[in-house]
Amino acid sequence: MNVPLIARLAKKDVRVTVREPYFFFYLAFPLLMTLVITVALGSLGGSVPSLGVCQDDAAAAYLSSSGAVDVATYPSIEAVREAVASGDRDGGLMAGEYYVLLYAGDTTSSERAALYAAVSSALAAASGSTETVDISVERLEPRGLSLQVRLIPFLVIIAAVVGGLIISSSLIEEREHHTLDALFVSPATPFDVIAAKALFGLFLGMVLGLLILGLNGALTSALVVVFLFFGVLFTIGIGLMAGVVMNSMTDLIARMKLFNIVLQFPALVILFPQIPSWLGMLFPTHYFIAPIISLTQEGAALGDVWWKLVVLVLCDAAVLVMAAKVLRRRMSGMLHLPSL
Amino acid sequence: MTVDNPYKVRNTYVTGYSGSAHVMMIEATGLTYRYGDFVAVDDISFSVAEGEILGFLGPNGAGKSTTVKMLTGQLVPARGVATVLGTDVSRHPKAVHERIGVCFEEKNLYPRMTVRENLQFFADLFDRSVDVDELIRKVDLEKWASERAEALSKGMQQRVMVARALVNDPDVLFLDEPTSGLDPVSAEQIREIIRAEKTRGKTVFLTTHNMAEADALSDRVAFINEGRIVALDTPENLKLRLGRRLLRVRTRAGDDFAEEVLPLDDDATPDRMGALLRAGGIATVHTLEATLEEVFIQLTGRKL
Repeated sequence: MNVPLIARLAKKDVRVTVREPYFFFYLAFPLLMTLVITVALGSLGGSVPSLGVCQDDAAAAYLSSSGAVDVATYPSIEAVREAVASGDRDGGLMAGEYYVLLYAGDTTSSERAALYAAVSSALAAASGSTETVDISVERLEPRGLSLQVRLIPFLVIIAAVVGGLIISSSLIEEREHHTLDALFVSPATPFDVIAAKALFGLFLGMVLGLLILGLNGALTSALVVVFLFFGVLFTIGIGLMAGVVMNSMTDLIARMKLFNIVLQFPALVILFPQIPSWLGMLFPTHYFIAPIISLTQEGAALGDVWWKLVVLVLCDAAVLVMAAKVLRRRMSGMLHLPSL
Repeated sequence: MTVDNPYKVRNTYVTGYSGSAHVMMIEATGLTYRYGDFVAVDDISFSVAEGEILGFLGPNGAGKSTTVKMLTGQLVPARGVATVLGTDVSRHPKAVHERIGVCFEEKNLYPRMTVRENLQFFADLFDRSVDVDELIRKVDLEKWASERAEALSKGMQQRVMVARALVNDPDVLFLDEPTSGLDPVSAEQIREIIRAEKTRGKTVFLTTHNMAEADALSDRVAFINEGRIVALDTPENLKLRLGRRLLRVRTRAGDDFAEEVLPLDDDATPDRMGALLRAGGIATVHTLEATLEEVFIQLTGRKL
């Protein structure tokens, strides 16, 4: 493997691709969707989580002045609990023998983290002590994921698909313009050419995926990035196959519409809870997006999702082996090459 | 009509370039390629010496491009060996690619990259410090250096492709129909570049179906027909041996012209010419030397 050569090929792919009209469509579509959804659902700009506090609580004033949470006061602990249970407040602070921080069931992990941080620093300030104040945490049973959260898988899959689409589009363009012939009588090997495109697609899919997760407040742990990486890798394999199997860009777009439904099915299962959730598990992308939701919204840890990571890595291995076989056969046939 | 081919020895040709010992830059031995059951190239053997321009001529579908692809490692021969610069192309294609330049028949520039970017990209692939602007000057495209390839005319694109083939200062150039479909000025510019490369000692494998071009540029020409080489020699030798050795004499008597064609090898011709000279009134005398095209037709019975 010639790394400097692959870097030069990838640089060329970036230069050529950013000048293609389809590039901005691929890039803009998921980002615009995210922005529209976040604007429509009022979560753009990182609005602060809301907290209910008893009006006689000493910490209330500190919490209000911090600006980290949107504070509302209530006459009693029961009223605070009622506000959280009804969904008016994301969390409630209740003082008794010790402090209890109550989370609403549908809060995101980032909201819970923000609430905890704000409350603990306010209590420390109110007590005038530098010692940490003990806070007991309680979470109400989730009533279901919010619409914005249910849309995250759909957007993240689009980001991953863009990574794959960039590769297939780039390969098809090279075939249509016969530029692969010129590359293959240069020092570049077919492997170098494919590796450069795969790296470019992977980079683009990751950047787009991270942006979408970030905009949706779902970038809460390193494990999320790991699942995103393997999810994008899966679509890279698909993209490589599509790049040599499809005859033209028109062919690619037409078939990707259909294939996108297959990739997006697990996202639809999450978006529409009426669909039995086990159906989503039949599709590889379930093992990519379901853990992201579990990790970011349900407080899951590696112990809860490790087996899904194993399944996803196995899916990646299968699709990449398949892609290598298809590439070897189709490209050798197309370019009459001995092998990759 | 076809005639017996005096050059053929089981479809194998001795190079005989300039009649002296040369370093062979290209050697094809028993090259064969099949597309399914169709034999595109059938057991051809030849070699090209250092500094030589070999014109590879034949009609469409004769096997020219398939041969080039085997010689440049784009195709693996079904049988036989292609050696370029002493290296077996099928076994070590990348070692060969480092030292050859290929100009394709089909336009294959990156349309959304500029002329300079197209050339710089390939120079970078060869990891060579190349004066891209000098290359651009060489093909007379300075004014277009910053234009995207898609904005160029066919002739300009062809010139960029020739420049790209030179980006690694190759020892052997493979040019597949480099002037096909070009206007006379563009075609002549490319021919000048080919001549200049020959002057620099480079070897050129020129695939064309333009007989006049091959005649003007090539040290030797090979005729390929239906996948087999039917003749390989210098253009002069081919024309002399297979062409018609005739003399056309036009005489004038008052306002009338008469024409007489005399075979050069006939014993009676000197006497007849003498008689015509003595009688006076000869207007013009021309040898009817055959063209390469006529030689090809004689050898194969088909036109290019």
